[in-house]
Amino acid sequence: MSDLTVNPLATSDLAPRELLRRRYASHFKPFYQDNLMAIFIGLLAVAVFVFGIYKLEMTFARLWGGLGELGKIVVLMLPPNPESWAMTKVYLYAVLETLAIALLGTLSAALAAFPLGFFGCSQHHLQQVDSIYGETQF
Amino acid sequence: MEMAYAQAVALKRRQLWLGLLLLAVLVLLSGHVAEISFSKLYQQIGGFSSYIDRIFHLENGRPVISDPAEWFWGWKKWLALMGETLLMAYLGTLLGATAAFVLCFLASQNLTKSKGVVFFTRRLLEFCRTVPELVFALIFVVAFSLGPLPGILALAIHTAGALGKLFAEVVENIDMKPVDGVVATGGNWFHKIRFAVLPQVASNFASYALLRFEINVRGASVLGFVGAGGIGQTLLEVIRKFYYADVSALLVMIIATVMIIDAVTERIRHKLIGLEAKS
Repeated sequence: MSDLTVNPLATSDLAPRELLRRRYASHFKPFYQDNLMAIFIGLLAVAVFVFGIYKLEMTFARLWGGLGELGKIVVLMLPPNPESWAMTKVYLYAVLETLAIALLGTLSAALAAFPLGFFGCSQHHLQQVDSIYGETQF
Repeated sequence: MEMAYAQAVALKRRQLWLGLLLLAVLVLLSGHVAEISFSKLYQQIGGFSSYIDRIFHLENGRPVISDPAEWFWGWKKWLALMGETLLMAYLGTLLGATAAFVLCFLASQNLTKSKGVVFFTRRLLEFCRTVPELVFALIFVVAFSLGPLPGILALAIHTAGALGKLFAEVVENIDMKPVDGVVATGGNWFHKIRFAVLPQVASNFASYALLRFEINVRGASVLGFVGAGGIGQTLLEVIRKFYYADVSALLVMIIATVMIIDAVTERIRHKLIGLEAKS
């Protein structure tokens, strides 16, 4: 790239593509030269996938038949209908209960994790804390 | 000035107390709704520890460690089931990651100009990941009959939703200059993705996919509870039939497998993240 004013493509005898090929040889080599490992991993991944399909009996017939069944179920599920106000209340209360479990579970886990976080922290970090705040005692 | 400072501190303090009060009210309310009772917890905790004790003793009353061969009597069968579980997690992850890969570009605002497509794709991904995989598995078991197939599909759908969101976030954070470069040379949409986006996101995508595989191994081991294949079905069976030592043997097996997978994928993921930092 010494002389930027002259376009090398215009002055060379070679075809433009050939010139580019020579200048940027690394970009034009066959892609598998650098990526043998990646290709091997890719082939292995596909092989395991095919083996899995065979082993776990994921046949096309089963998929197709199941999709039909699934369609029927979904049609039956729509529209959402809780039958009566009494049932709606039961479901709403269940939602509330779920939220309550989530809150209590998260809170108690956070309380339990708080001290564990200090013990689990690596010595290296503790030393950094020490160097800033003086000795820490646990 | 001092007055303003004192006021600001007082306001902060009041907000903190209000927040704590709100939390306390919510906790009490939750405790009432979830029927938490400390006396019951105290009474029943003995039952829990005695169960733990029982699952670590063989039928003849000796601790499981004394006779590992007897403890893991069904290891051939269980190992095959564990393999099936891993295979389920693998297929589910691969199928889901492929779907997420296709959808994530449509869900990224910087690559898809149509706001409608972005909106629709995002809602689709949201739906896929908010419904728990166990619920999908339950419905799929009815449609596809018992076995690993419904489990794989449930994992795949959940994975597509979760990974699609993560992938889209990665894509939205890329440097757009290479994209502009490809567009300037006349590249089409496919060229844009292949030569400008993919080199920037590939290692991150692989890292997230591996993380998802980790999560799916755990997910696949309980999918059997609803009859969707894998080791979960056997685990549920031995719990229900009170084969105590078998419960602990299966749990040890599952935990060991998950730990090994976690350790291996974590190492690979750190390497992949290092790759991205270098490029």
